[in-house]
Amino acid sequence: MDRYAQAAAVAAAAVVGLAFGGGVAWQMNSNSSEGDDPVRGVRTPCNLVPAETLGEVLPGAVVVSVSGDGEPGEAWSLSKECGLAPKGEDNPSEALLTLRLTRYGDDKEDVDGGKGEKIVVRWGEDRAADEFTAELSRDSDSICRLQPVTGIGRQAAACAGTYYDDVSPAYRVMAQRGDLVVQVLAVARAAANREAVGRLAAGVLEAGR
Amino acid sequence: MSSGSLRELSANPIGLAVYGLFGGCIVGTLTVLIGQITGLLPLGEPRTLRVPCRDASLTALVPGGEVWNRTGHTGAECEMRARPPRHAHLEIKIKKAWTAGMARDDHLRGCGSLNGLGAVGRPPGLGDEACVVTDRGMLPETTVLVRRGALRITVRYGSAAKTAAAVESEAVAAARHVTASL
Repeated sequence: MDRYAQAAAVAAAAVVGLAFGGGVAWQMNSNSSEGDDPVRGVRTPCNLVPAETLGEVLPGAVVVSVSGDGEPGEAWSLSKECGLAPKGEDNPSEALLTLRLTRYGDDKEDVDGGKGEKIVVRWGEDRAADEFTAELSRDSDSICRLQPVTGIGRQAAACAGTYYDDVSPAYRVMAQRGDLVVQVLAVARAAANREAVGRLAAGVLEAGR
Repeated sequence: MSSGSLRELSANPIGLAVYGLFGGCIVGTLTVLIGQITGLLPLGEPRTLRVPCRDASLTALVPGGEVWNRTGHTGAECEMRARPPRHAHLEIKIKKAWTAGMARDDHLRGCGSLNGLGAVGRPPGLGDEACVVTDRGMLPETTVLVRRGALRITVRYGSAAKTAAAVESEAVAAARHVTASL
């Protein structure tokens, strides 16, 4: 075989390899998109609080901050946090009432059993309950240690302590129902009516379904 | 394989072709990977993405807001937040997917996820696939999702000082401004 035919054969092989390698890389990355149902979006908790109950906790409250974690369709849990302060406060950026609502989506896990792969589905409700339990035990360095209470959602915990400024009283409530977990932190005068703060958490869970 | 047999393989025309095949595979794979990571691929999309956050029509939505801006080859985003007491915020995100089909799948997943926030509607003037939803209450907040080719655009606007209808129409107008600038 002469040199030109040999070079042409190598070049042809290289082109085939290029197309094959590029095609495989392209395909592998194109098919990595997840096909499961996305977790439903979660509403801003400030839009879910019952107006009457909010009036008991913090009359004349206005929204001072909103933030969220996770983009719809991309994350397995979505959360929204919003802060409320009384209107006309000297330092309105300091929220006296902070609400955080998180929704957990269904999760599929591949488990290697004895005979091939097994897909295990963990429903959002179970994940929310797990996160609730995990939050209870990791809470030691926070404002106060959450203790189980009844009457809010499916399970709930609450505690009273002192805010990070070491002066203001604070009251925390965390509750779970279905695939939702709500966390409420009330500071200073918002912490005065603890029973109403609990009803606030219950109202957010109820309206957020 | 010893170096002796490698030398033997390269002396053989078929062996050289095998080298060419494997070399081509490696170069092809690397080209695709590097092209996607740097945003050069897919072809036909803007090389560098930018969000027109400093345009007057967008800054007017968040009076006195602080602007964060990020430009990039595979994605760009910007965020504006007004200081309390009158809270308002605007977030714009643009993401480049590997293919238009992937962007479409992710976009439809996003639209499916939005139904937790309220009734999902079709914003006018943004294509057949675009979707919009408004979370009504103390803080009306609208999310608009749009797809253009391999690009996905997310616009989120909330303002405590406006009605839900006003927030929604201004968010849709902002989304139109962003897609027109691409």
